[in-house]
Amino acid sequence: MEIKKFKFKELFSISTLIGVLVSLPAVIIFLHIFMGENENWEHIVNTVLLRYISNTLILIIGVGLITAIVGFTSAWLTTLYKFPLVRVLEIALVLPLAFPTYIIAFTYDGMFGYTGSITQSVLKFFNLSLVEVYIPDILTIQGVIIVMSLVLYPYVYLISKASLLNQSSNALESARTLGSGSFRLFFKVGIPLAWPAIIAGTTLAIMEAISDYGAVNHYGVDTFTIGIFRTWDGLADQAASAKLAAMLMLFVLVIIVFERLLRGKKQYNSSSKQSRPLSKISLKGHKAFFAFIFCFIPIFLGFLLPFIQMTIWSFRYFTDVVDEHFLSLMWNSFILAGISSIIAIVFSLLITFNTRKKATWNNKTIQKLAMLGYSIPGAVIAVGVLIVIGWLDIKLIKSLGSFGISTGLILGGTIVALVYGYVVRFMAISINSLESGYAKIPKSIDEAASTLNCNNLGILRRIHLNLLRPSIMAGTLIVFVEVLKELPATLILRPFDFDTLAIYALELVGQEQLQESAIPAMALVLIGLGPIILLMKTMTKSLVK
Amino acid sequence: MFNKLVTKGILSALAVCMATPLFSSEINIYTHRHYATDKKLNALFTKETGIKVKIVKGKSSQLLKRLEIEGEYSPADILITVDAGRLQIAKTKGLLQAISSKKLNNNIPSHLRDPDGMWYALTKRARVIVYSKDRVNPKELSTYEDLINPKWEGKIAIRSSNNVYNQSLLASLIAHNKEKEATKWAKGMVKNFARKPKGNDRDQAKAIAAGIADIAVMNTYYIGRMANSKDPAEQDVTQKIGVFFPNQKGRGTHVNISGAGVTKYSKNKENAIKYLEFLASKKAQTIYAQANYEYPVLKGVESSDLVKSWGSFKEDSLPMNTLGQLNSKAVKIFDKAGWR
Repeated sequence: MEIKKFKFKELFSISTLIGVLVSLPAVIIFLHIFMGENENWEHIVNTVLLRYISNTLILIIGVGLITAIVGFTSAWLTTLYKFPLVRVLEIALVLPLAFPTYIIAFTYDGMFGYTGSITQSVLKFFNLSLVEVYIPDILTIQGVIIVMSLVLYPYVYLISKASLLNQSSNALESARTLGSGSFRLFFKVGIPLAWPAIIAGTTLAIMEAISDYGAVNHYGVDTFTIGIFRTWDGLADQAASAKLAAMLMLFVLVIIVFERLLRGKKQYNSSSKQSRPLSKISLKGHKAFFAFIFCFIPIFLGFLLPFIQMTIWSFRYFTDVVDEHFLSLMWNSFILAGISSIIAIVFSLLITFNTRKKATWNNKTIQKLAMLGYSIPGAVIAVGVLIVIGWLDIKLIKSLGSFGISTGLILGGTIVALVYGYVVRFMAISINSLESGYAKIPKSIDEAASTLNCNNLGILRRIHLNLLRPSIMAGTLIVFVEVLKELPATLILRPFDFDTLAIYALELVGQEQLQESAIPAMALVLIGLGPIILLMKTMTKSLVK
Repeated sequence: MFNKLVTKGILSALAVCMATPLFSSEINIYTHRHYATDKKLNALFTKETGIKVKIVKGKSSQLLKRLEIEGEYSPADILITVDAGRLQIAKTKGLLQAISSKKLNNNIPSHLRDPDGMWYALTKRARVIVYSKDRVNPKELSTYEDLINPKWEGKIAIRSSNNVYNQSLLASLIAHNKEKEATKWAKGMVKNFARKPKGNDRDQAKAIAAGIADIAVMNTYYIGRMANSKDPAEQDVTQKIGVFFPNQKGRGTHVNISGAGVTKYSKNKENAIKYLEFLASKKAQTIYAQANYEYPVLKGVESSDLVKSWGSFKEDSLPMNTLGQLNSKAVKIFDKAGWR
């Protein structure tokens, strides 16, 4: 008994320590909000701030709505109904997640821009020139909203699908047997049941959209992130730039708190969870057709079409880009993503479990702060990481120095720093996924387990790990793919002579060699594909056992 | 020797992999340059001297930040940027050290290096006007200043002012014409835009080919890269545009640089200087000029045939550090003019 008690305490303090460690870089940046205002700041407020705010809001609303609708509806259709190719669609719907936002943005411009391959072929086919017909400009805020949504809806899809699979067979089937029509079922039962998951997924999509730089810059849309870098690079004023980043964080904090309120009101705990598979209803005729089309379109636009275009470009440049070095890039990307996603999910599990057991203000705050790293651009959060790592390094160097050992940097510029950076940046994803999973496990289960003399570790290991499995998988998978795609933080934190596929793709884009960049981008997609398909299969099967 | 081994053993136990095993026969570089040419040059340098070159590539302002936070423990020996402004900032933040080298001073003209020897230009880039061969008579073109002439209304394509190339161009206009005229210029340009600034430099040339704009402002080496692209559509674009060097009758065409400096806490200063001398040598300069279509800083180095076909030109000899000093002023003018 003595030993057991010691273990609980340790678990809690470790979780707190992890929470602090992960939120520290974001907190450092956030403190800039209290920095004094200088002439540069005044200039920003007077000239461009309003534009940054309004563009960011439009982006949030646009991406939020599209990803929520497409993501949840497709999850709903593929979970509840049987129609042609549904087993394939259900996996393929996640595929767009493998594309980095900036790559899809450039590819779409390469297809539908004025000189784009598709625009030009259509013009040639009808024997027209650009001057004669009106072609909508893709490089606009509408364009960037659509293009981003195409690769961000899988967040909502994955998390709400995990939620639908996890909880709802009883509620859904009761509603069905009570004769609810399919539309009523969708609005009256489906949306309320999956609400926490829809909100969690949409929040992730929004956070990703507002922290993007590459796509909005290319499409000519000045968001907050553009402002942060313009101030940092152009005005060479890091303080004002960090202050902008802090404002963005504050904004995201408001969204997160707001989201908790939205979630809090709609808590639907299924009282008795049975691992009985949900029986799917077969759709026939035009219903089956529409369900198929609804799920196929996002896959086509978000994955197939850009993939085909990239394949065409890749053939043109294959020999220029692929050499033995390329394999090491693939390996680096894979290993980093693997390590970071596992660490992130373990950390998140500890933190969310801690908060569930002891929902104190401290614990809840730490959990929210740990999510902030995802809301601001990777390059900014990386500066926070550099500061923390730099401080640790000096401590280490000094204490080693007292033993007469002199060294250079120990953590800075190593894989350790890089992985730390990724965990800081992407914790929000795994935490969000686990939270929406936890929302469906009634507290009464924990209480019952405690009365049966099961300790905390036991509850976590034997009960939660099982019930949370789909959420754990969704969280791990998304972090894995995110790390594969990550760029700005990797650029600053990485060791010497260390490249990843995403970096290589960026380099080619940076040289304005968009088409060559298709090759590393495709490799990224291919690496992401394996785990995605594997996990989707296990996830959808987890209840069919 | 034994001490060294013990130290290394302890360290590798401490960290998964070490950032900086300090061998004397290597140099560590933080660079914003990311061209295939650079890889080739580094390999050549290692072959000639036996000195290993290790690289972290990133955006200069972010590399500067890393350098700053790492302080005296930074493993970096050299900082390379793609504009003079960032080098100037690195200098004022005390991140670079002065070096003196006869070779560098002989090969690099004085307006292309820091007066205190903190940084040196490696290549030059000219920001030129390109025009539609079908719709524009080059005789109508003259200066950057003339681009705000109402005759160009709705005809100019240029990228966002987020880009440092535009910031440097406006900085040069501030230096030559004073702030008021520069502001007027930025506002006049916005009036003459064919579309909201978007895309990269290549996209501006494409806008001309597509008939959206008649003239554009861009860096020359992108034209070289497009002309030698494997994409037939890009080659077509270069067929449709002509290159014009502005301000030839006056101060000359605006040029910016890509350049390098030795970091303040460099542990391999000798090797770092050797590396810079190598990059300023005739051999390296020729590679820059031939393969990357940039303009060499060393006189007498032959350019590629394509670059030669654009003709020689008179360049603005404004000292490079001025561009850095006026950079933030330029950004503010862009903001006021509504040039995104």
